[in-house]
Amino acid sequence: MSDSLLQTVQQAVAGSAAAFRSRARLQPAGGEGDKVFPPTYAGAVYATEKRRLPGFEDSVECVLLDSVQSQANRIEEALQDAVDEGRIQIPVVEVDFSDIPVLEPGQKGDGLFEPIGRVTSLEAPHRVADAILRDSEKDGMPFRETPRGRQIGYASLRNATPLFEICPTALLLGLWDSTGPKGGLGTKFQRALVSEIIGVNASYGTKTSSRIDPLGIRKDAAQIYETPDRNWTLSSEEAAKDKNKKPILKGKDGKPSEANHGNIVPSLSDVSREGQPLAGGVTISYAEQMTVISLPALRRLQFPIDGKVTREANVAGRTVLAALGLCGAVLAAERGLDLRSRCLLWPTAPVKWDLLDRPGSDSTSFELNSAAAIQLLTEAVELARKAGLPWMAEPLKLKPAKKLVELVRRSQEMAITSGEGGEG
Amino acid sequence: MSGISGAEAVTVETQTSLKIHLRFITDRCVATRVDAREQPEWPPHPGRLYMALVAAHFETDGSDAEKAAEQQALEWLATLPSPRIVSVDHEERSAVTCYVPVNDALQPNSAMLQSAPGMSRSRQSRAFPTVIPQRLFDAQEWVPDVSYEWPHPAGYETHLAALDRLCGEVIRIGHSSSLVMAWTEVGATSSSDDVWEPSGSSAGMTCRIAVAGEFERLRNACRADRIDLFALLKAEIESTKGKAQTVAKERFAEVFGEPFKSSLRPPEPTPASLGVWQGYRRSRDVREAARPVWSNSYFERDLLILTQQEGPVLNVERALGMTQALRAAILASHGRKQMPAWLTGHEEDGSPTTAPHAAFLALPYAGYEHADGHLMGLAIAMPKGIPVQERGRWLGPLLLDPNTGEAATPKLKLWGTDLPDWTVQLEDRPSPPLTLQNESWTKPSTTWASVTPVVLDRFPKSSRADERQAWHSEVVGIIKLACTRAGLPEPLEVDIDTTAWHRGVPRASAKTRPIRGRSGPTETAPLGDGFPPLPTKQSRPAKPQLHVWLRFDRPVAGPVIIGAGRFMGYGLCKPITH
Repeated sequence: MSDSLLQTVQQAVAGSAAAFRSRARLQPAGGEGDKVFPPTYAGAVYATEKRRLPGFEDSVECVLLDSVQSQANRIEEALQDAVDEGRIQIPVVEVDFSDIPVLEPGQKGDGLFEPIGRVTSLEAPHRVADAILRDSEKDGMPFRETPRGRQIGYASLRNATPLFEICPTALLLGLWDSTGPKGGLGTKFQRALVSEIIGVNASYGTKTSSRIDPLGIRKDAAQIYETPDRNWTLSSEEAAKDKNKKPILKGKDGKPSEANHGNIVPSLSDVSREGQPLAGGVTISYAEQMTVISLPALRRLQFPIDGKVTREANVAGRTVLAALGLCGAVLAAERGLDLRSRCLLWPTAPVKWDLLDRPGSDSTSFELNSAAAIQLLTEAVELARKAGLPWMAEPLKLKPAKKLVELVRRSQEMAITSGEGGEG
Repeated sequence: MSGISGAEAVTVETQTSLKIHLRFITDRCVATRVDAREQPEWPPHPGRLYMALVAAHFETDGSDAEKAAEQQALEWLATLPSPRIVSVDHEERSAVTCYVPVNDALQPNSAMLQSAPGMSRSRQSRAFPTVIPQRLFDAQEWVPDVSYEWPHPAGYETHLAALDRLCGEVIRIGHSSSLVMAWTEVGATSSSDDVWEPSGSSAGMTCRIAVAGEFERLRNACRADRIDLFALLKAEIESTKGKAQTVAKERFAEVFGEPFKSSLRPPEPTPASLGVWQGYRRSRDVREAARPVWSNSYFERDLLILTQQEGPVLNVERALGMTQALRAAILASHGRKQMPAWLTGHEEDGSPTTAPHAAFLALPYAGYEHADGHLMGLAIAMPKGIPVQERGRWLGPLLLDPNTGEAATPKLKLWGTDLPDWTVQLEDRPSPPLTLQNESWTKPSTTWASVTPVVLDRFPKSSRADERQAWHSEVVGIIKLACTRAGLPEPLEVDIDTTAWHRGVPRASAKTRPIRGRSGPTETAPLGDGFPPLPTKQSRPAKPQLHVWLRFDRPVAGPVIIGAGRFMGYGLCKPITH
């Protein structure tokens, strides 16, 4: 079975077909009709649109549940998890922060307040071209000056092999090395995989906010002061003093709520100008995740080996990328799409993939579960290796440079202090 | 007035066209307008398609013969006239601002990354204007969302195969996530009303197009060769020593015209942009414009327009007062001389004339987005058949300075008020405000709507309160007759209301409210805005006046002035778009 699947993918990549596409129908984990929470944009608004869909007479209100960029991140997340679990092996570049000591807030020293662990090319926002990797070192040498790192700067459509070797997801999901040696024209690969989730037939709900204080502390109970270590006290002697030697009130006016005590009166979510409740969630008839892998985008890539281009290597490289896309999408769907708080979606049926060929020809379809997808990827990688393409078998481990650690430490410090001031 | 050449007006049903079809396989199109970056572009401009085809040519490989054929096909395509555009309806996704993480030199920031908690990153706002094509829901995969059609393109047979190959390699139109399927077809030219036709005048939309030579221009703008060479030479200089390095440095200085420095940035590509824009109009509008226009058989098309120079800002509700002031001023400028009937509307014995006579109009600022209905000037509509010398003889004394012959600024007294006088002057600026342009009131249009109320010529026999429908059809009949009396064809469709269709115009008559607390017959006072009733003789009841919307079967050229008050400025209409 998987042999013919590998062949299907190979033929699609080598021929003139347009794309692999899947439309997966999803429902909230709480069951059909349960409320879900789409991403909110500036102004606490959702991204909405009207669509004409089968089963609805008029055009129907839809809402964006997960954007193209966010979906790409989830696919990378699923791939990273599969790598960590040992289910698949794909090239990754890692930056290892685990040697850096962890400090308590307020402590002085060279460490970090929150442990990072490890950041990989699958997790960094700009993938292998990200500033995090740029500011990391291999045996003391900056990453972009190492032989593999240097190659990134010269990767292009005609020479995709260096990226294939160390970060194939960059070729699938897009990469732009804008600060590399070619400036604005630098190493730029457009995405070949586009995925988006929309909620169909959305009606908007309201949200309530409140807090019941089990201790029943009243807001006029006392005045509280800020201590030098950002804690609070009832005694004005222990309080920190301002420049006029007067004790500083906690927060704006020293109410217990500034220290997170007391009740918050229940309220409903704000309402937009048109009367739509803001950020109150939606109920939908169903959600649809549409994933498309563009074959012309893969066909733009060439994989020379030692400067020589062969059709075999090109087809093999492109097949691996198509398989990687299919695998990533399937793995992401199977672990459940936990998009954000109160937005967990599950597919209602096994996901079906269509091969969109030239207009007028029939389309082929196939189903794909994670086992078959992983098998497909492994076989495709094997073929690519046989054709002579390089594939990094072990993660490339880097260490963060001193200046990067310092930067992270300062940012974490900012986050801690602004976090306390921001409450209440 | 149509401005359409004979060739474009020919029926297209029997022609063959070369077509390029697009279907958005992610069900959406993300492309920004170049002139308004927050807004989406739909339909995608033909120029955008051309740039995508050129990119496909340069970014894919093929045999020398294939590449040469592709280049010739692209050069040929740019020499064709602008294509017609067929597109499905669309809806826009609500505009939201996204924040994308940056990749420049990192700064400390408290915003944490979701994918790597503990690491911070600044963000920059970006918008992705998106359009959703509204396809019929049972459309097959290969029914296009947008098609570009070139009617009877000479020589297409040579280039079709290469174009088809290029279409198959097009990845996207617009943003990288806006994936498409593109393909060619040779078939019958589309003939629906909604097709966008290239048009030199009255464009409903303008699009960027590719013109002859575009291929070469795009290739040069990209400067890929120079950028690659820069990177190559830089690498060579930095990794070699001695003689090899000197040679590389010399080559660098030769190509780039300055000595190499490690701080030099590589040359930037010029963003690909197309300079030529083409106007487009819907097929139905082109057909309408090509139809013979009906000219008003009563009035001349050119109005004599007088702009307000000084005086208070008055609302169009005061139209009657102003037109009477103008008429009075003209009469006064001739003292006690007997004025011709075409100007006064009365014969020597004082009876109303049956010959065509002039209408006095007040021109309000109406129909535009922020219109408030204030009067910007006055106008006189001349009846047909009055020679120019006649006009000059009777209007000259008021409107022209006797010594210089230049436009004078006569004063118009506003009767019965303490307000200062208006002064007006003949409008002769090269581009006056739209309200004071002749074309705004006379350009041919199939639909017109009133800016001053239309006064019915007689009372309808049915009662408005009890026999509403019969009353309505009777009124419509009266108005149709009024149109034919005013030099116009009978309209296909008439709609009536007390509210005007043009923005800024007050109600046709004021609502009234009873005044409470007075004994005797119920007295009423006006409530809210509204035009005063047309004065009648001997306290006869005022005839009903209302606002109308008219649709004719062909474009009608103005001025359109109908109804009983038309010689005094009531019943003046302005073109309206549907």
